[in-house]
Amino acid sequence: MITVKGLQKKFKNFYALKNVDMHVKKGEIYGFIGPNGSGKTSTMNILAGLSRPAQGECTVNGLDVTKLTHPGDLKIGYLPEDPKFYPWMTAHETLDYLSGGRNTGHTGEILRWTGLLDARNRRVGGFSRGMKQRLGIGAALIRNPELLILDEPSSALDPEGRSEVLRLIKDLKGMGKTILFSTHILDDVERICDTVGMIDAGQMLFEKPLAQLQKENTQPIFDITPVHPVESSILDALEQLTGLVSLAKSGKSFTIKVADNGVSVSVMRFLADSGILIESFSLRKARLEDLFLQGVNTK
Amino acid sequence: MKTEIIKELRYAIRSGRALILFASFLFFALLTPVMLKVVLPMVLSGQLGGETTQGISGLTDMTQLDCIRNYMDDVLQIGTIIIAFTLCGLTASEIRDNTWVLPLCAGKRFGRMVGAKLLVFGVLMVLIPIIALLVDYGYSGLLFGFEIGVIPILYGGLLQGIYVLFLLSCLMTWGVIIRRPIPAGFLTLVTAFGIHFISSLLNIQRWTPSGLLVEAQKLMPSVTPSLLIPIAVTALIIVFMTVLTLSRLRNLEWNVRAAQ
Repeated sequence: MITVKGLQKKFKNFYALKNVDMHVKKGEIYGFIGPNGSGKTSTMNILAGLSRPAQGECTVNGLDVTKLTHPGDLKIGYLPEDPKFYPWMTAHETLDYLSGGRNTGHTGEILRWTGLLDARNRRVGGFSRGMKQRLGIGAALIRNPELLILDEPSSALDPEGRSEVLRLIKDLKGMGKTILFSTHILDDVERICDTVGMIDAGQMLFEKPLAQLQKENTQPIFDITPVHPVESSILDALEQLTGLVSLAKSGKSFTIKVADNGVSVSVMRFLADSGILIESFSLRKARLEDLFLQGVNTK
Repeated sequence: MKTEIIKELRYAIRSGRALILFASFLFFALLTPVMLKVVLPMVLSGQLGGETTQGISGLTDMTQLDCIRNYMDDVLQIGTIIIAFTLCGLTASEIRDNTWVLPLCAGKRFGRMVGAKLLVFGVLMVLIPIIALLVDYGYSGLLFGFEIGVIPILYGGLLQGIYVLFLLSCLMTWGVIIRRPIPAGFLTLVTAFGIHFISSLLNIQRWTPSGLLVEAQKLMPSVTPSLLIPIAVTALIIVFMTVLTLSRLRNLEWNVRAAQ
């Protein structure tokens, strides 16, 4: 549905996108992750036909975005990071306006599906952030597109609103839609995505199916909290331990990634020999957040 | 285009824009006869000691026609400012606030969106001066006695309305160029008053939209070159401004952060 190759975007002297490659397959949920200012919105604006790239190939829904004359020609659904509505219009009037008054049945269906049926005659200006986001998703669906591009649909919402939006996105996949959505909430990606692409400083760091990513990064992680802060010389010595992949300190706690579970014995022995009293010691698998931080820090 | 027109009508009514414009024009239409009939003689009698208000009224020798012309003069100075700042956000706010992003992605075309604005606010801006002028005609007639018929009034109001269409197209064009409402309003005023001032200075008013105002003030309906030339020039300017607006819109980037 989306093929991007060598995409670049320049704002005056600043390259927002340096070299972005991306492939979104039909019927999947693609999670586009990256820290704030990494180039997610710039990429999505180009994919939605709202902005022009400086260089690169970009095909969306079979159309070359670089040759596009109007964003509407792409026939996709797009939800901006902060969707702007006319505050003096009601939810129903908004969807009716966007649909061109063509399909009132579909508008009613969208209002029901997004849970806005009871609020259909209320002005959008009085809507909560979550309601606006749901109306935005409804607006993106107004032309019943096969592909939806959602920019940070859950980022500014409370946990309840986030769950609701994620449920809607999952439902959309069930309807056979292809969804590309950006976020910096990695838990959301782990909950619903099939493929993950990570961008930082305008460059793609990786693009892999979520299952493969999780399989490749199965190294155990120990979160250790000592009773007293550990001297840095001891931590330096710990870092030299065979089988230890990485060590990250946070306050008096530290997190170590090891090659396999067997290393845990050596770690515990080392800590005991060094006379360190342990408050808590927990083992977990690497999560997307660890990969994200690793990706951002290694750049 | 039906939904775009309905949207603009809702905007005009619910945002209070239509009411502000109507009330402003009506205010001047009602105020001018009172000022000339009551306030002006009172002020003058205060300055010229000994003369009664009735005596001063006789001296100033005001008629309904003078009153209407006075109103037309006032309304196109203050009215232009009111129009410029009431409607300065027509296109500029849509761009600045990104409210056109969702409609564009939903397949709305610039031609229809801009066309609906021109149509709705154009009709409104032709109707308001005509209605206000009719009110001024009626009220000044009651105070000074009726002097002319309704046809010249309709004619004068229509010409004023066409001039206001020129202001509207200026606002839309400056709005898409500057993308900020208040500066777009200022630039529209500079354009309108600049043209008016320069054309008066060089005596070429008939070749500019200001010629419409000169013709309107004559209140003498007749098809003469001095009427047809400013109408044609104004129509050409409106078409040019609309084409410029659409061309600029097609080249804009959307949903881009302000600093970029």
